[in-house]
Amino acid sequence: MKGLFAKELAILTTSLKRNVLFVALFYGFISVASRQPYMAYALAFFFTLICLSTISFDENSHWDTYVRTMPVTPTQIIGCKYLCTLGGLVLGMLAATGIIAIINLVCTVWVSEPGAISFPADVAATLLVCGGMVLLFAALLLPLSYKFNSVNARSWLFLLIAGFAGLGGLLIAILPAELRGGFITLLNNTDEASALLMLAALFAVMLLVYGISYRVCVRIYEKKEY
Amino acid sequence: MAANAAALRGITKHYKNFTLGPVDLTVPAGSIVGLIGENGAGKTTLLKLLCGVNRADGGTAELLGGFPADAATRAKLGVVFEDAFFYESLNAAQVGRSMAGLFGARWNWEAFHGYLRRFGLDADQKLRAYSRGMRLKLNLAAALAHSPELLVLDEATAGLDPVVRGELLDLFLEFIQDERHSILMSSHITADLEQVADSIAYLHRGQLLFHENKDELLQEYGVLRCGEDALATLPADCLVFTKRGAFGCESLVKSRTAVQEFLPGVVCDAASLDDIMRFYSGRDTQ
Repeated sequence: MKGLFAKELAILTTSLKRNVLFVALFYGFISVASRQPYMAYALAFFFTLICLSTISFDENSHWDTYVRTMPVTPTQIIGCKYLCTLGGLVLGMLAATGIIAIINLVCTVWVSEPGAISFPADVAATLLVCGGMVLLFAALLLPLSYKFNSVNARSWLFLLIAGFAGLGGLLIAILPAELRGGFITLLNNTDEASALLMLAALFAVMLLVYGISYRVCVRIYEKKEY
Repeated sequence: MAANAAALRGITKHYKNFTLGPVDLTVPAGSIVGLIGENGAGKTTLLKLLCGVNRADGGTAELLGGFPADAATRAKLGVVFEDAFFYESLNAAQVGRSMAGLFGARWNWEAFHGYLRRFGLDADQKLRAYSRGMRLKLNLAAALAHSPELLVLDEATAGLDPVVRGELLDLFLEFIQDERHSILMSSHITADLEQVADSIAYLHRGQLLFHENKDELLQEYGVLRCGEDALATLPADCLVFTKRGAFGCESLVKSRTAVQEFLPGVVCDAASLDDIMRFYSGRDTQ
């Protein structure tokens, strides 16, 4: 499996290094300059997407065919993609945290703008929400990419997102007003610690979904024909 | 050591508009088997089944004492596909590191760098700057550097100039010299196979028409040029196919020696692999 990671890292550093650095610095600069910490959270999504994009590189070079002649199992091949994607998410979250720390420093030391300071609990909560959404996105996109190829997978994913969003909106619309109001009241009355705990639990659920996605993806890959 | 590097028995694979097999094909240890066939005959499909890329719908495949589905068995396999490369932003050094991680203790850095030097490849140059021949050479270096017992080549010399092809053919002959190594190579450049192959397997519309010793094959088949009346005197089982033209008939015949005895005054040249393929294809088109 070392060789698979070496290949992923080589592709990421040679093909995408410039893009990644530019976007990270651009987002970071804009975020700090405008004191908009919420821009920085997009890096969690960006870094994950970069890692996911290696699937299309594999398809273009027919590496996906070639690797099946090598002494690696489908579990290892798919496992490497899932771990690299998770690594991208972690890197993105760390980058976001770093940028927010810089904004906090700027707003404390150089520019007095207390409204732009992010508190640790807020940062943690937002990272958990962003991380959870990115994990769900990757959990859906990876098996779709192996089932339909990376280009068609995006179309399927947008259809799925539209479907979920539509269904969610419909559910909210048909929920009785008391229930909707009650839910909002519950959220407002939840203390910080409990809210963080709920979000952490949701993130853990997303990790579980990610793990199930991995199992499904391995099955898809084993049956795939090249 | 096993007598066969690979053995396919009753292998079948069904697609919507094409069926491969059943195919029985063996690759004897220490030999080069050339796999020929028209475009769409099923050569690449067959090689992919042997290398573990896809699974057969029927039959059994034995590979180097194990099975294609077994990752440990594939560690002894070296593969070069015509259109499967490493991504163009990588360089040879990065390819080597990936392959070293994949093959572990089997990987030989000295051998890899030796092949890069022999092929004149710069380890630090990105693959996008490589020509097609250079990419194939890198694929070959990567396939050989972990000391495979069986080399599977799918159109590995396609699009290469004669000088480079000659170098690679010499390399293939070196590879099998110690009798522990074998090669199964598909190629449209039949002249290459006539030069290096020990046996030829002909795949035609998903069926294996024959798998024979190359020298015997080239001795056995002939191209007969004569009139219709001379053809009529030949036994039916000698004639594979006849093309009738304005100036006479051109036929692919088996048992060339026997035909020459039947018709001593008639021209019957040795058939090349190209001739064999053209006539068989012509027969089935009719």
